[in-house]
Amino acid sequence: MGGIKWYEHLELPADLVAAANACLSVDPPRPPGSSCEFYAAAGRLSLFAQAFRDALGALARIAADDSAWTGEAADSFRTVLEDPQRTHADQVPARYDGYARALREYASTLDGHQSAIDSARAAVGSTLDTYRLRAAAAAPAFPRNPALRFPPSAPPVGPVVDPTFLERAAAHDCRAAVVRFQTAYNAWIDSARRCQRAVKAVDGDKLHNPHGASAAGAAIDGAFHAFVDATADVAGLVSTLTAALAVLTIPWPPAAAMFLLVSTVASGVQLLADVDRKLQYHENVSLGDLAFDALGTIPLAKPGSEALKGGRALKGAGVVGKFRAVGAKFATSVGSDLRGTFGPGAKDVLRGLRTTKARPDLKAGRAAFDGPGAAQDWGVNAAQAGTEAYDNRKRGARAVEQAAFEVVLGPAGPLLVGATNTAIKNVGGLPRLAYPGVVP
Amino acid sequence: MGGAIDVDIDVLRRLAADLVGLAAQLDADNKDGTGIGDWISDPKIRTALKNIQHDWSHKRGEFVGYLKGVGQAAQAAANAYAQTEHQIATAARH
Repeated sequence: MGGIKWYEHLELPADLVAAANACLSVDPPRPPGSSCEFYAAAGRLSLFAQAFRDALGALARIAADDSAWTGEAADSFRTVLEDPQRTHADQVPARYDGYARALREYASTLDGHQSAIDSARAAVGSTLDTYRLRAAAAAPAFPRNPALRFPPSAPPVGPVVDPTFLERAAAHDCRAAVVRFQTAYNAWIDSARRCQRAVKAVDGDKLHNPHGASAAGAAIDGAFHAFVDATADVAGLVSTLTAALAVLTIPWPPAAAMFLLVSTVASGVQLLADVDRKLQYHENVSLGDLAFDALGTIPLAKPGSEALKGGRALKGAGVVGKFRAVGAKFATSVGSDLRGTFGPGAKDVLRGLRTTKARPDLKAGRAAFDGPGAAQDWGVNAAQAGTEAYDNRKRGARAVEQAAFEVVLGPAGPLLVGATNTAIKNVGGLPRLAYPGVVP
Repeated sequence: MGGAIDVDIDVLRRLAADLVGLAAQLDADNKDGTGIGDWISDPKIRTALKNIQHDWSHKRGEFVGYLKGVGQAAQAAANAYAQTEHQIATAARH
């Protein structure tokens, strides 16, 4: 849809006849429409605005607790009602009132403009005709030769009246009529443009479609929205997968600890994404979803804040040093939270890790896959990791771990293994994960 | 589940009709032939109105859907109440 086609002011050439002709041929010759039609349209718009306002009021009364309509059905009905302030539905009547006001104001001037322009046009037409007659009369029918007298015996006499006087007077009248027409016409143009601007100004509410910078913003917002959805989905998948793997790999404590860490981080990401979906995009994210997300983040809730504190405390330090220090503090907190969250039992597990051989107990892990259903699907990656690890067993414990992490984590492996190593280091005396190049 | 029921069926019916009617009018206000711009013979003011009406097509579509949905829900509730009343009245006569 194109933009508004604005009315343009009438500009006239300097030549009188050309200017008068421009007045007579201007398009449109007079303001289109009638004041009645504008008033009628404004009335319809105002009626609609009032009807919309009344309907919103009726719905608001039903939505209110003290509504006359009570009962279970009324309660169900209330659940489908939206807050008009949140959806901006309350701005619809104002928009229609804005249209109506613009049209009514224009209508109030239209009759005057039309009669002024009609009158000025008539004056231009008649004065132009007069001017043309006088100009034709003042001009000689044929060129005179002053040397020849007619009759030849008559003495030379000067003109009694200047033959151009009447022509100049007609020109003056015609020019005045032209100026009057231009003034009247441009006064109408001003009113019409004022009406157009008033209609356009209605679009300053929050109802308009995104366009220009807003469109770009909306596009970014749309992309971000999709990203948030995808993040929530992927994080949810990772969280569930790693939580399952953590359980399945309990016989292999280093992997279990790492999967627990990954699961917790993923739960945190999913919680943030779901909160954003709920608050910003009003998606159907239940409190149950948020509760489960939050549950998954418990081991890292405190470490997150500790890491932030660490980051603030390191103001002025180098970037690398900052990240290392924050990571170390974060990891220390992970260890303490793991112990704190799971209690003495966790301490026993962690203590047991020190003496555990860094080699998977494949039989124990495989037993968990024997059950039917989705657990098998979730465990496909774990099984593949186990196979890879088993194939690499002769290359030593570090090769086994490296192969497993490459399969399960892919490109994210180095980062996550590094974080987990730091965490394990801070818990104290645990076997470190061996992904090359990550742990200094 | 018990509870008091207090409803004016006629008011509910009128509200349902109003909401559906508003939805239809809101929808028609931007269509060729029925739109607000078509009420005006001045071509440039008509274009301005059409442009501005078009410029909130997304929100208007949402409101049309919302009004229709709520109106239909109100209509269904009114019908259900009326039917229940009729059945109770019929049962009371026998």
